[in-house]
This record gives sequence, C-alpha cells and structure tokens, in this order.
Amino acid sequence: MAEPKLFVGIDLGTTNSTAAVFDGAKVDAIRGTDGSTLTPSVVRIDGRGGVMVGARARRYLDTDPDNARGEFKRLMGSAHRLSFAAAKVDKTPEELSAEVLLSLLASTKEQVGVEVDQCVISVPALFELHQTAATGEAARLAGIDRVEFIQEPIAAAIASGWTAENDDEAWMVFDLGGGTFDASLLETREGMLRVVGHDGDNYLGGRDFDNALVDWAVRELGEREGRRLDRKNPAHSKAFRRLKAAAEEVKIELSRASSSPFSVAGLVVDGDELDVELELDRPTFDRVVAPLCDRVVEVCTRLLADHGREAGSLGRIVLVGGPTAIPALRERVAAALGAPFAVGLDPMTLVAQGAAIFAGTVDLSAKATVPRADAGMSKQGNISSDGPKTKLWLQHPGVTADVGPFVVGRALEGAPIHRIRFTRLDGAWESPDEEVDDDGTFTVQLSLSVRARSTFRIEAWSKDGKLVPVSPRETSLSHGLTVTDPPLSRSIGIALATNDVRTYFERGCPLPARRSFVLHTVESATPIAHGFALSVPIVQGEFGLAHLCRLVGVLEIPASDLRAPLAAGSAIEVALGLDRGGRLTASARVEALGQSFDQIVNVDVPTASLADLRERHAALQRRVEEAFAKSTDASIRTQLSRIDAALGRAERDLAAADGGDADGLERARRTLSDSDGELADYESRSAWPELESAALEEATFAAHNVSRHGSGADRQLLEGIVGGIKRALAAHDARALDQRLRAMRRLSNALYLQDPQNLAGELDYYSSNPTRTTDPRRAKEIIVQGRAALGKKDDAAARNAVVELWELRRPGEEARRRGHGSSVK
Amino acid sequence: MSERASQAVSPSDPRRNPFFVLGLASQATATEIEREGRKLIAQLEVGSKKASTYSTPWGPMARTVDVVREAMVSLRDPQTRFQHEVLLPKDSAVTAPRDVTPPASFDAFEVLGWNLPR
Repeated sequence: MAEPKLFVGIDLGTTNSTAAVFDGAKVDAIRGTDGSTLTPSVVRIDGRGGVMVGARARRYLDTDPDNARGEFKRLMGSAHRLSFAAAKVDKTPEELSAEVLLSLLASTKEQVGVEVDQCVISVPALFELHQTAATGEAARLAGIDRVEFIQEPIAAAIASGWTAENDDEAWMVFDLGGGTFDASLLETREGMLRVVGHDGDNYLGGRDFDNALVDWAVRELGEREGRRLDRKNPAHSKAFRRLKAAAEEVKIELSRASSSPFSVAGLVVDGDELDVELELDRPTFDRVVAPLCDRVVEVCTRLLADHGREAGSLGRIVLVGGPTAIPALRERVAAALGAPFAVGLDPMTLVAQGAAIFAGTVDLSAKATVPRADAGMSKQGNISSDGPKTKLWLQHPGVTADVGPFVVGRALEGAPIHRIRFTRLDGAWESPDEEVDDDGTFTVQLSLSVRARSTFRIEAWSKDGKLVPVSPRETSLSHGLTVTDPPLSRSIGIALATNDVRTYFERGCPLPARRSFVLHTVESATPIAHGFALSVPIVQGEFGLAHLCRLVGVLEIPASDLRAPLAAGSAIEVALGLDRGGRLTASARVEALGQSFDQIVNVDVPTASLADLRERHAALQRRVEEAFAKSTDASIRTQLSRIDAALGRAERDLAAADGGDADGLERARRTLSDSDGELADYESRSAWPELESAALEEATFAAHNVSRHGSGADRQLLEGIVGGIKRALAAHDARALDQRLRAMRRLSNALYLQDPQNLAGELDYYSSNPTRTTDPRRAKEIIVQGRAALGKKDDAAARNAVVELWELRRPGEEARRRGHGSSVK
Repeated sequence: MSERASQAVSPSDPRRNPFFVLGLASQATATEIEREGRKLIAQLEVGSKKASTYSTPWGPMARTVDVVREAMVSLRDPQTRFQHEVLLPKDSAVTAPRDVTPPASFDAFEVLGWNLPR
C-alpha cells in the first residue's frame, strides 16, 4: 500500500502565521507548543543572541521593544534592517521571516513527523515582485529547498471550495489581514477555480483600525488632560506603542461587547506618568473606523464594477482574517455587496489550509522522517524493497479537477517494459494496457472517483508477456477543486527609449511564464573597460508610459563584455521569465555579435528618501489643485477627491516616518505611486478628444492597408481590433486603447510594407531626413541597399532595409530620460 | 507614414497557432485544452520524443514546455482564442476587396459592411 504523501502550506502573515497539512483527503491546521494554531509573527533576540519566536516573543513587544520586532512582513523586500539593541545585531525582514518559518516547520515536524523541504507559502495578491522575491529568500534561509507561492485569496477560496458543495457561482474573497487588504473575484467552472480579478490595498489592515483608535485616544487625551502626543516626536514612540496594544484589545472586545474600557496604566508622556482611563462605546467605535470601512467597501465595489457585475450578483463572500470579525465592517460589506458570508470556516487558518491543498495540486510533498506502520516504503513512498525492480518516473498532479487526467511516465532503469496498466484499488476501473514507447515513455488516461482520493496499482509487462516488478507499484491522485496557474498581479514589461512600455506579461497572466521580443538598440556601443553598453529597464504597472510604471529591475550588459562594437539599431532579443513566485530572470541575445547575456535581474529595492517623498507629495498636491480648478464634471471631481484623500493619508504616513516609523515611509511611497498613476490617468482622459482623433487616423490608415494588401483573415482581425478600440474609447480606457492601437499598428505595418511604392517612399523620406536616425552613415548604406533591392524587384530585401531604417529612428532625449534611460526601443 | 509606423513586427507566425501546438481542433473545450496542455507538459518533462514536435500544414515544428504554456495561456483568454480561431488557415484562400475607400469615422466601418463586435 502506498504511504500517503503530506503537503504543507504556510500562511506567513503580518500579525500571525499558520501552517496546515493536507494528506490528500483532509486538511489539519498545525498547533504550536502552546496549543494554538496561530504563531504571532514576532521575533525577539536577547543579549546572548538567543532567538525567541511567537507568543512568547510577542509578550516582549511592549516591555522590551528594542529587542522584539513584529510586522516585518510589511517591510519585505525593502532596504530596511531592524536592530536588536541587546544583541547588537541588525536583521533584514527576510531573516526575521525565516525565523518564523523555522518555528512553524519545527511544530509541523513535531506534530506530523515530516521534514518540510518543500511547501507552498501564501503571499498577498498585490505583493509586488520584490516582495515575493524576498519571501522566497526567507524560505531559502529557513532551509526550504523548493517553494511555490499562492496568492492569499486564492488559497482561501480553495480551502472554502473544498468543503463547499456549490461550485458554479462567483465568489468574493474578502481578506483583511493585519497589514493588507485583498478583495478577489473568483469563479469556478468545471471544477477549475479561476480568478476573474482582484483589487486591494497593500497598506490597509487591522493595524490601521488600531491606529484609528489610537488617534481617537490621543484626541481624547488632548481634550480631557491637555496632553499632546505627536507621532513625529521620537520621545513619544513608546507611548504610542502602548496605546496601540491597548487599542487592539479594545477592537477585539468591541467585536462582542457594546462598550469597552480603553486603559493604559502609567503611560509616560514627556516625563510624567499618566493613567489613561477612557471608555469607548460601539457607536463611537463605528464612527472612528467608518473611513476605513469606506476604503474597504470602495475597493470591493470598484472590483465588481471593473468586471461588469452588480451588488447582489455574488454567490457568497469568504471572510479571511481577524479584523473581519468587526461588526460595523461586516454590516457595511453585507449591505454594499448584498451577498451572504460563507459560514463554518475558520478565517484565521483558511489561507494556510488552501496553501496546503495547493501543495497537493502541484505535488510538493514533505519528507517523512518517521517510519510509518507500513514501513519498508521508500521516502517517495510506494514500494517495498524486495528484489530488483524497474524504476518508474511518474508525472501527475496530487490533486486535480479533471476526473480523467493523464499520468505520464518513463521507465528509468531495470528490465525494459513493453506494456503498462493502472488499476484503481476500489476495483471499479482499470486502464487498457498501454504500449510503452521506444524511448521508455508512456501516457495513460486515468479515471478518478469524484471528490475522493483514488489509488492505482501499477503493473507492467515485458515484450514476451512476463510481469515486470516496478517501483513505485502504486500511485494516488485526489479529485477536487483546483486552481489554474497563479496569475500575475501587475503587468511586467520593458521600458523603451521612447518612454513606451513593451508589455511582456499582462496582469492576470498565469505563472510561470516566459516571453521574448526583438528590440533594437538606440545608440552604438563599444567594448571598453568600464560602464554599461546597454541598459534594459524592467517595469511593473498598468500604464503604457514607462515613467508611470515602477522600475523593478535593470538588465545591464557591461561594455567590457562586448566582443566587438555594436551599431545603433542592432537587434537584441530580450527574454523575460517569471516563475510561480514572481521571481524574474532576464536574458538578452545579440545576434550580430553571436553573444548571449543571462542573469537573474536584481530586483531594485525602493529607496526613496523622506525628502524625495515630501517633494513628490507637494508636486502631486499642486497637480490635484490645478485639476480641481479646471474641472466641473462631478465624476471627475469625485475621482480627484479620492486622490486628495490618499494624499492626506500619505501626509500622515510621512509624519509617522519622520518619527522613526519605517513602515510609514513604505506606505507613503506606495500611496504616492498609486496617486501619481491615477492622476496621470485623469490627465490622459482630459486629452481624450485628441486621443480619439489620433485613433481614428490610425484606423483609417490600417483600413487602407488591409483593403489594399490584406486577406479575409486580416480584415476579420482588423474588425475585431477596431471593435476593441471603439469599446476602449467609449469606456475612456487609455490602457486598453493603447494595447489595441499597438495590435492594429503591427497588422497595418506588416501590410504597408507589402507595397513596393511604400518601400520606395520610406527610402526617400530617410534619404531626405538622415538626422532623424541615430546613425546617419549606416542609414545611408541601408538606403543604397534598399534602392538596389527595389531595382532588382527584390521586395523582401527592400522590406528588410526599411525595417532596419525604422529601428534607427532617433527617440527624443526627454522621452528616453522618462523611459528610465533605456537603451532599446 | 514613417513617423506613424511603429516597430515593425512580423505578423504572428501561423505555425505557432496554439491549436497546432496543442494538436486540438478549434472547437476544443476548456477542459480539453487544460488536459491536453498538462499532458504535453508532463510528456516533455519526461523526455517523450513524440511530444517534442507538432504538425502544421507547413511541416513539423519543435514543441517545448514554454511553447505549450504560451498556447494554453492564449486559449484561456476568450479574446486571443478568438483571434487564433480566426487565423487558423482554413479560409486563407479568401481575399479582401481592393481599393475600399478609407472610412471617415468609426461608423463608416459599419456602412462599409464591416461587422464590428460590440
């Protein structure tokens, strides 16, 4: 009998972390030494370097804040280091997260006897690349050899779907954790879970509710006691920490009670001791947290609207995270979305449970360290060790939504096999005898029991019909809800010297993914000892303009690595790869030199200083005021008010950063970045008539080319694209318009180049305007070659000449600067 | 024209049509696409020779895990799937009418009989 594999999933949370184990049939949350399924994500390091993690460490957050640290998930991927005074050490957020992981792995080993060398870890849906990469680094530091990531809301949906009966409806997963908020819209079709879309706020969580209560308490103290507490004042940091701890207790208490005391004994303010004795009732609490509830509801309704759905259309809402217990929040969400909450689920461990189930889907099992009752099995399971056997390499998922999945395999060593058969152990099904191919590979379609675990006996025969013992001799698959590849949360592309973005991976694209495009250098490069010959900036964001997207890395080719000089306009094939966790790799192939350059892109850590962010904040504030002055449209003024409110939050975060709150700096950076994008969107909308006119002109040009040179299929394709342009124009969706215009240009240009008259016209144009190219001498040579080709009626060669000339077109200096200094277009 | 003409990119190579890559007909269901794609990826991972190429009307092409993944992604998106269905070479003999007057507005597409999806 096969030993069941165990799959481990981990929810590495801002406030608490959880692990769960899935055995193919049921999921169990792992309990720590204190019996709780929640491990506070807190680390304390004492003067001798001793490390303490979890509930015990959390107790020191107030009494020993210089040596205990929490909420470091918010800083993952940033340049911040957290100091531990007594031990005189600094730790990165990744190192501290690794300590939390080690604690969870130790509990897992103790409880179920497995050594976790591979697992699935959940990350917020809106984590950016550098944050996910940092989570991978934490896993590596904790000794996990292979890790896959799953977005938290998807994990929650899998876990709730696993126990649910109805899987043909849309759900919203509402995940309000300690530090982040994600709303995801999901659908299940034919047992396959798909994310239709998600939205959220990377810097909104239970902690912000605590902060709102702290602000209330500070106002009350000011009015009643005349005490002034200021976040900007480092001397008040300790007082704020104690108020925050009290606020969290009050928040939890008010989820059940109608009022709660807000008490802090012996709070030290400016050298005086003060006993805080306040009382907070539910209506006041509701009023204090109302702006946060508004933000949450706004995200949810925006998500529905973005996907053409209305309130009341959802089958259910799955709640994840402790703050979802707040009654005012539940009431607002239920009223706004008009859907029932899923019941009977544990909102605190749901994400870890889903991660464990997903580990089964991608077949990431943990290693058994303790021999089981049916020992004699190998660690992969599956066979006793009497006598030589033919070893099989099997490929199939641990869990699948498909009742008829394929199992694919190969005979690796031992006696050759000719035929193979799989028989389900319940005796209800067996496969036909499938022939093994000459290369030793075989493919067999199985039949699974619905919503159950199926185990199959494997039998194989030699060419002369003799039974050949194989290893493993059994294998198991579970049928259930599963998920497609995890989708990318934000689009990734390359910034071009024209300040455009060449999108490689669209938001929502399943991972892993790999794509390459041929780009062209905008200037010549020579092999010299220092500096970079080529710089290819990689950006993340939804805008077609590079300066509005965030730079996440740069592929740089050192000048010293070039074998020979490289002319401007040279083709360079740039490939980007993203694994399931969003880890980015990039490579470039320069055909003219016969050279390839591979590297893991160093994802840039955002390092904007407080002064930079203040300057950016002021500039944005000015732009919003100018926009207000120009606009009378109610919907635009609502949008501007939203941006204005976000800038207000950023100002508050900058004030907190001034007082030493590193997290405040990160929040402000993100808020300013998002506001910049939203404002640019408004600004581009105000230029809409101009965009519409330009689009019409391009469509006319494309229609002309298709009519003259295209096939029926080309025409049908253009019709589809023009339909998309019309929809984008009607919706004032600049991003969608940009994408469709690009598709139309590609089609139109390809056809335009079919006409020898057009080719001659292009050659004439650049002959008269040689300075419009980056290399006039090379352009002249190309023009001569092109004209000679036309003379010989060699249209293909002439076409190549024109394409080469286009690649030499000179981008403007300002555009290039805004395009993050890109060397390609 | 030169300033408007963007980067010249070759039209999609019809040999890379995802239906060819997965060896499926254009009527294939979502389940068939997922099942076939996962089967091919598994076959390529174990080094199956027969999975390493696929047939096209222009001759065999090399099949890799990346190519299969890309094909699955393309066909999951209804819009790109539609484009690939249209571009399957079954109607390649159809030719476009010549010298159609360029439209003066988007509505002119309909006037000219261009059936635009909404």
